[in-house]
Amino acid sequence: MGVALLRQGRTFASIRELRRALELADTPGTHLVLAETYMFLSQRQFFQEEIAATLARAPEQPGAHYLSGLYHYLMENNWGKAVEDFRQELVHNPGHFQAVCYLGLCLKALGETDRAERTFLDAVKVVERDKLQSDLPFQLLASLYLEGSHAADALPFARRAVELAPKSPRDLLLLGKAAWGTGDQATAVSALEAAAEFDPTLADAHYLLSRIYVVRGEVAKAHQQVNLFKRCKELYNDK
Amino acid sequence: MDRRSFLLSLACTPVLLSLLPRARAGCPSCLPVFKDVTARSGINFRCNGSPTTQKYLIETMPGGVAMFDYDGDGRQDLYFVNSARLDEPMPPGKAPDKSDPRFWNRLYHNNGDGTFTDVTEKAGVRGHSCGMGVAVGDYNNDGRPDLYVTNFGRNILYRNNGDGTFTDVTEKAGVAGAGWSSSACFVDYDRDGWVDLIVSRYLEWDLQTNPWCGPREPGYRGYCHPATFKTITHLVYHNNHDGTFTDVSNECGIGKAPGYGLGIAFNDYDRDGWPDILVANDNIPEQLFHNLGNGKFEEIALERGLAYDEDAHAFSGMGVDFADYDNDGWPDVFIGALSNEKYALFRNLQGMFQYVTGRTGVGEITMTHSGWGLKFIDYDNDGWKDLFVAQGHVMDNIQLSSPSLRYMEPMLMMRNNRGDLVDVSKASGEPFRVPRASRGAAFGDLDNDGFIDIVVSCLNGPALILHNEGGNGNHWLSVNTIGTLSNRDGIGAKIRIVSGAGLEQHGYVTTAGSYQSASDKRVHFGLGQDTTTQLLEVTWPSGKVQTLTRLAADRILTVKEPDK
Repeated sequence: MGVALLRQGRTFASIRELRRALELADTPGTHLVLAETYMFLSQRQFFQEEIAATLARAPEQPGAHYLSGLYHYLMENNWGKAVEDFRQELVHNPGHFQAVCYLGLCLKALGETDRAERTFLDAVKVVERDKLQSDLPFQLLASLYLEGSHAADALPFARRAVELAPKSPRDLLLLGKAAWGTGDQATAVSALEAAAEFDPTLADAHYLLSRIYVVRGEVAKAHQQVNLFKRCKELYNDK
Repeated sequence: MDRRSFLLSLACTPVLLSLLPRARAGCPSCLPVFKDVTARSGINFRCNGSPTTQKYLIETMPGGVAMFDYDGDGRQDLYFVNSARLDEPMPPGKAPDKSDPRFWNRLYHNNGDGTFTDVTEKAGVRGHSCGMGVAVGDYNNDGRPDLYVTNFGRNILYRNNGDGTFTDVTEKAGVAGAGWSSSACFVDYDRDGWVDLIVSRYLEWDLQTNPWCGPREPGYRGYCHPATFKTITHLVYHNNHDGTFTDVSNECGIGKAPGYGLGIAFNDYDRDGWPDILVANDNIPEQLFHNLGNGKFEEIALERGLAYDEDAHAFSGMGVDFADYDNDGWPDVFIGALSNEKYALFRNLQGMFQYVTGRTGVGEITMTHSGWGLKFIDYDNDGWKDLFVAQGHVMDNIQLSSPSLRYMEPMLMMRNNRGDLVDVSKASGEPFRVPRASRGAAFGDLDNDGFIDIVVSCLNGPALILHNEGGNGNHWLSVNTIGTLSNRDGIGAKIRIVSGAGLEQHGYVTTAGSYQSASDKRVHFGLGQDTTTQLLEVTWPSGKVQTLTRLAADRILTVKEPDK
């Protein structure tokens, strides 16, 4: 019941049910779900108490270090601590590809781009080996390469991400950027138009489309996309 | 080790470095190196930022340097702007203190033999307040370049008296401004024959509203992000032709678009004959003010593709330059930024800009760097403008939060290989291997040998005089304009040359660009192996077009505007 309530976003009700569950049976799994609930509420001390309770009862509890890593990464920007957590999780749970992905993100945040690249490639291997339908590692690799101005390297991973999640605006945007960076205007335009269709609030898709239309000499279309970009910025972004 | 790391590590080995081309006479493809001649020059300037644990934002932003010929002897002199002493913490109501000579601005006279003499006291240009930058221009058309010093506080206009001294005429001229000014430029925006003055201001800030930014742990306090503070308007002063200016900031439109202005440059982006103003803003969209030709400007950076990078992200614009690097006759834009943002290179496609940071190689080269003073300069005289950047992070404790980044960074030289930029720093001499907290940089030919030299102001460290050793046998032509109908310096004149082999290049007369700095106003052209130019065409701000043909290379050519 506690888990179901948490998934519905009813965090306080979830906490009540999980506390009641602990009175009935003090299990590491229940403490872990409670920790997750406290993470959503940014309750650092309660979160840490529940993670500690989980690990005290089951030092190899799957997901405990992962959750701790997420907390340090997402809530505290403490990337060094998060790296330790994700590594610990992978010791017990090497097939946890999300832990691999987040480990890569932490390394990237620490500026260790080469190690982040290798880690994302490891995540790709896990996803391919286990035939998982996740676009995440492909998306992360494509992003990493694009940030480093390596559009050609990004392109195959962006394509694969779109294959796995053809309606993901983020993946389509990455494909559009990678294709544009390699000079493939047609693919870039179709991917960016699809991205903007699936998510009309995606400001950067409109912006890049406007730049491509300028280069193609399609002034009216460029102007239209600039206006859509401005509108998105006004409504959804303060920058 | 991945492929890229492996190649990078190889590139740093002495074996490969020895294979990189070095300049020698008659080797046009060889690369000139720069030599640190600071010690020999006698210049011992140090920009003292007065660092405190309070992390006052003004500590980390100065300062600029100017390269200009104040005494008309044909040799470029140097003026450095300095900060001021800050207490720890600053008592309420107390201003930064510049009385200690260590915080004075300094003027150095070029003796013509590689040495300089400090003439600050005689010239009367030590400054006041916490200094930031400097602009150079002949505001009264008397043939002598004047100085405008930007400060945190009131700015200063120094009129050049022509006898080696300057007079502070700020009050009479009405250009003191207020708040925090960063870069400035003299430009005749209305083409009335007198240069006007435009000042980019950074943000609304004062010493008493200095919040704690960064983790509350010892050593982790950082300089605040600009978004912590309000934006501020830029200042526009119109020259009244009588030694005074009128503040037209609001009236002309520029004052209606506040920003976090750090760098400023101008050029005629759409070739309509009117100079347009570019302001590099910190972490908000960059601004391009289109000159409408009627005394008014319209901000059009977004429409023209200059406001953001290609991902539609604003970046931390600092230094800026506005010049034609691809020799197509349309001025391009280069803007320095903070690490993890990449410097922005925008190619001008006949009035629309394309972000070409990725495809030119600039992105990969600059991803982890932070760029301040910068300029398009043809340092090897091959006819293609290269890019120099003075680097260093804004946060002196950046390594605590980002272990892979460094506060002090070596300088960067990117060679223009017909539109593609290649990092040649390691082949550009020992000074390019030493990390520094570089800020402003000025460019020009200090010894008139035909190769562009560089002067860099470093925060809390000695300034750097970099002599371009040249020696690759490439030829050159330097053009010094004298306006008659136009403003006296010919600021805003466009120069087109066609070399003997047919390579066409475009220059623009300006002292602006870089970061808080002013450069040699002479327009320098590299000619490669050509010993002549077929054509030199000057389009003066007055509209007059002057043509000269069959000019010999390797000289400084003075071109005077016909007065009829």
